[in-house]
Amino acid sequence: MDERLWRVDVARREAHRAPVPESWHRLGGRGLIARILLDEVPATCDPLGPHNKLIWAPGLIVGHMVSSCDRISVGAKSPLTGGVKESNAGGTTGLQMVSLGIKALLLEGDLPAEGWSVLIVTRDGLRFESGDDLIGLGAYAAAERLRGRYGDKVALSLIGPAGEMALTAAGILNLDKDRVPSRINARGGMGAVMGVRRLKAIVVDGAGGEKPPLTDAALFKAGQKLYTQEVLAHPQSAIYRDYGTAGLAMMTYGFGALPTRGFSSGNFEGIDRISGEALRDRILARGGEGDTSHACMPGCVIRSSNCFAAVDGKMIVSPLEYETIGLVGSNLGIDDLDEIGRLNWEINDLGLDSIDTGAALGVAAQAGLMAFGDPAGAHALLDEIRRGTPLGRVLGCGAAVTGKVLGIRRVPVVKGQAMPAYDPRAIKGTGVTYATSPQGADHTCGLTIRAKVDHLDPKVQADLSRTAQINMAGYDTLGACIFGGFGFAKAPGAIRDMINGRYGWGVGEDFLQVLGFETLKLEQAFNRAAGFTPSDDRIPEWMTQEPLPPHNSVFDVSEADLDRVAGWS
Amino acid sequence: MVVTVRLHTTLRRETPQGIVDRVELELGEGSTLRTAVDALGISLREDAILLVVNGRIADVETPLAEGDEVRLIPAMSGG
Repeated sequence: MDERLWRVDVARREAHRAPVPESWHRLGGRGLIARILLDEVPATCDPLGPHNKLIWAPGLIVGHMVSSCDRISVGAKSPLTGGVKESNAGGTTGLQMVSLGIKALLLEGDLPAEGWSVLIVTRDGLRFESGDDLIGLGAYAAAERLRGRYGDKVALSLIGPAGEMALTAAGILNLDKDRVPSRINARGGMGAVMGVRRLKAIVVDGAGGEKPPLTDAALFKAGQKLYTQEVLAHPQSAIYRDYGTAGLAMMTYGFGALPTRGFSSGNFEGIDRISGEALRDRILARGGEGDTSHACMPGCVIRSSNCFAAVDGKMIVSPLEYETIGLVGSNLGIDDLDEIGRLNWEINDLGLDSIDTGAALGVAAQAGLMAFGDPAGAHALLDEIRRGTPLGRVLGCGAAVTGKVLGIRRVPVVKGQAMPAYDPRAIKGTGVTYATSPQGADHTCGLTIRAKVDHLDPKVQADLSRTAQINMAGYDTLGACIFGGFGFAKAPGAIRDMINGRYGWGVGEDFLQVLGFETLKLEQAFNRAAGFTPSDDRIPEWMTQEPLPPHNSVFDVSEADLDRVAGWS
Repeated sequence: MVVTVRLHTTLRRETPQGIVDRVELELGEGSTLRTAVDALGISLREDAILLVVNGRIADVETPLAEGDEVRLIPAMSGG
């Protein structure tokens, strides 16, 4: 099946399949989104207006169930940051889109004035049905109704109430392999861009689809085998399998960087109750629907996801991941995993990014709207969002807007996007990533906590971050999970062989870095055209002034270093 | 001198008395991180375990002092 662009005009309920321009062929996922934005979206446009485009783009190696390599990127000009945005997720959407020959699916054209739609994508083309009956439903209930209507085998991308309200911390939810809408393109407000087009869901029915063709099947399989062996043998895979990302809670705490009570400390006294070790012990002791190891994509051999059940064995939420534990747990002074899990479910059901929402609640707590350590207070604020009250809408627009409205200065954001759960004053390399990534504060753009460096030394962080950012942009363009990246790092020839086996491009072993560097240059070009300057590539001033316990460190990587990294030259 | 060692994730130990993730070690003066690791019988795989003393990255030659908190962290990252 030939790769095509599927262009969708929701207002006119029209769609057509178009050829892929030559210069877009060798990109996928994050890199393709950057290329499309530069070519087709005016950088100065209103992100929630008719000139923006919302783009689904599977990565370059999606489609063959290579472990951890079937991710779907969603991107647009971000209403949260005002710049380039790509947010990727696991689940089944990428795999099914590729089986239908979708290189990218673009929502474009005028904004509909009324009526909500569901877009159904099948082998025979696209059609629209009414989505009016789904409006106001939480994401879990909406997904269940859509599955009832279109069957258990379809993939879904849908928004929750937050996306319907065009709140700028709204994400887009995809089904995992067990049909739970928990794989989220969470960051940067992509749900709001979908909401203004009054599209509640995309249903991808891959029935009758086929795996993408291989130019050299033997070469592809050889690369896949080598990579899979390295992933399976990597000690890190065993940690993810047993502890998931939650294992990072104790590690980040150990470095004094665990966000605590509105990023006021890196030292949370309740760490032993919210750690990955505590989570695993609790899941194993409770049994029932709980599972310490769960695959978010079919075919994944790492299985870093989990299912977290209550004492009665019933599911609280799946997955419960480190970033949420950090932002909704310690950042809010909450030391009970059950409460964190219930808040996580609620945030998912609203269709929000748990990082920006957790950070916004931390800002609200500083303003006295809830007490730190009070889950009921956090639930009450989330209920404000569900009811669409003015306060709820402020919170649902993320930490930066919340800080401005409430008059709070200590807001952990870069380019308007909230920081994940690594305080940049104690993991300074990740602070460089937050500051210089075209995406805004985002750990998945280049986390440095694993490196054997002194995380407090400001002089060694720039190159560390730069290398990580290039690699991550490459993985995001391939459609590979960061965790699979540890396998690729041991077998760089595997990327070359899989790309050449699939496309016959004759790329070299450095293709990951080639892709990553090109992607970052495209993204930075879009941001500069949108009006960003080096002053946007900074950590908030208060974090350069206020020491973070326990190390009492500030963010002090030089501006010259930040500018050098952000130049992407 | 006595140091505390925290064992993260896969380095925790299952014992008949339960899971052990915190060990107090009595070490001689002049001990280094290597002494502590050897005392615990842990084999260090290159690049797989991060050594941390009092919240700072360390190496096997790092000298230890009374009251130090050592963390042995199987290296992982987030996403």
